[in-house]
Amino acid sequence: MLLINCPYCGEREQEEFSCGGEAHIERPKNPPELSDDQWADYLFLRQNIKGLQFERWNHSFGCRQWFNVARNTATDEILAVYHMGEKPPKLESNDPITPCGEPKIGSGNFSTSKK
Amino acid sequence: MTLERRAVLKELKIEKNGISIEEIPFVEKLNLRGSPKDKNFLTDVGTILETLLPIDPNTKVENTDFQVIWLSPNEWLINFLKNDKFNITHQKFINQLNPEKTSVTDVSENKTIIRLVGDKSIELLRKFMILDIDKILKDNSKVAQTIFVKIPILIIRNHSQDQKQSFDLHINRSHANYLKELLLDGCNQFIN
Repeated sequence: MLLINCPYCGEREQEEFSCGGEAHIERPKNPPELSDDQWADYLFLRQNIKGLQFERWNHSFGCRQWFNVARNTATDEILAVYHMGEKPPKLESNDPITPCGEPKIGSGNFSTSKK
Repeated sequence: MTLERRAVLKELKIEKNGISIEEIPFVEKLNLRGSPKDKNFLTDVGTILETLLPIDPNTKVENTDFQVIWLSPNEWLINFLKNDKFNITHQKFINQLNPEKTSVTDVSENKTIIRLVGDKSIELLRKFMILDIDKILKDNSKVAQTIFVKIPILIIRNHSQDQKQSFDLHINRSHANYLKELLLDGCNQFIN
């Protein structure tokens, strides 16, 4: 169970929250001009990083506000919480804290890595 | 044909092992939305309610007529402790607030209130809630939105330090019986 520091309500249990997936994904400005592959890329492809990932969370059973969280997906450590619309904080390392040095993209599968 | 307005629980007040569980039905409620950065909005609402809106998260302010509860940075719940003030105040909100920037909704029938009173209320609530009650509801100006087992609730602390423990639980009407049964079951531990 994670303790998440809602920027409005303070520290609450994870059960009160829902995760909205990766943050800072911009909607393309010219959707009609995109190919199906590019549109699918925007809709479905996510980095799924093993290590530091920026995510959107919603305090669904509390104040119902959205906010961003910087979380290490390997250790579940929450490194920063910040408001929607703010730029992600510069954190020291994006490397996963794993003893055997697995690649950054999940499970050694590089097919989802962004070129 | 007019529909009969009924409380949810068959017995409005039940006492078991020193804890009383009581439904407070028919409390009129308004949901108010607007920006706390809009000075006109704050001034107008303050004039109508004759009290300031609580801006701090998880707090409430109250006077003899209303209880104003913070729900989110731009949303408040107003409980009318005296029902005769409801229509007048609702009309004032509609007439005086800017409809493009604010919203006022009558949510009286949405939820009901279960009042829990007794010296072991906190101990009873801890059986069902993940909320750190001692830390978050530390005085009688505090409220919290959270879950009771899986039920979304709004919990309001009524008592000050030297008073008997008392909490109001705002829950969906359809969950009221489920919550009552769980509370009664939990009371079994406190045999005098």
